[in-house]
Amino acid sequence: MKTVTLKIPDGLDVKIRRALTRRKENFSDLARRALAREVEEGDVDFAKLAAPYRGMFKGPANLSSREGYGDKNHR
Amino acid sequence: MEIRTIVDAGPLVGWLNEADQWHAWSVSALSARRGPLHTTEIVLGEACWHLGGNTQAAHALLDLVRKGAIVLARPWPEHLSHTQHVMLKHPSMDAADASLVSLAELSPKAVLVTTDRRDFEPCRGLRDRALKLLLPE
Repeated sequence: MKTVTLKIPDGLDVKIRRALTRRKENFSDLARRALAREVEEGDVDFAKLAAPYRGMFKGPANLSSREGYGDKNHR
Repeated sequence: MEIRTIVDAGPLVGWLNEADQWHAWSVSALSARRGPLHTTEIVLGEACWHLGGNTQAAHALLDLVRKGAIVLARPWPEHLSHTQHVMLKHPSMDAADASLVSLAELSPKAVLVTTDRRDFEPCRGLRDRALKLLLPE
């Protein structure tokens, strides 16, 4: 496991200390969980980003199965 | 970035086209994948072509590339000779399909999502390994 040094503003430090006391948790555990959540939520996900476009039009039923550039009928 | 999912034109078109025979399958298959989808420029071009060129649906795909939901992997030109070998080995495959086979061989952990059973199911890579395919039942 890597050790990191983190600089935080005084105001945030006060809030964190209070939260740690309340939760009976140490700083490392809280920081690891918060950082992991930040990274995971920041991951780009196709399904999330493409949700607004799902079924955005009605076309032919076989559109997804049509031959691509290899369609010999185009020659 | 590790490539986990490679996508063919069919499921992308199926995602957008509500009346498509593979719409429900495409939504289900692609929703189950985490992270971005990877494809090649020629496959993206093929999908846009199927979507009618300069249409709202084609722009939706391009928007998804801009947003990073679809990542363009570039096996060419470095691995173009590999792609040509795949095409020679499998005469029914066009350059777009074969570009995905090249990408799949470069990313052995990746699953290739396609509706094209006819072309991809019999395809084995140049190392004679079966591709990891996600196909409609």
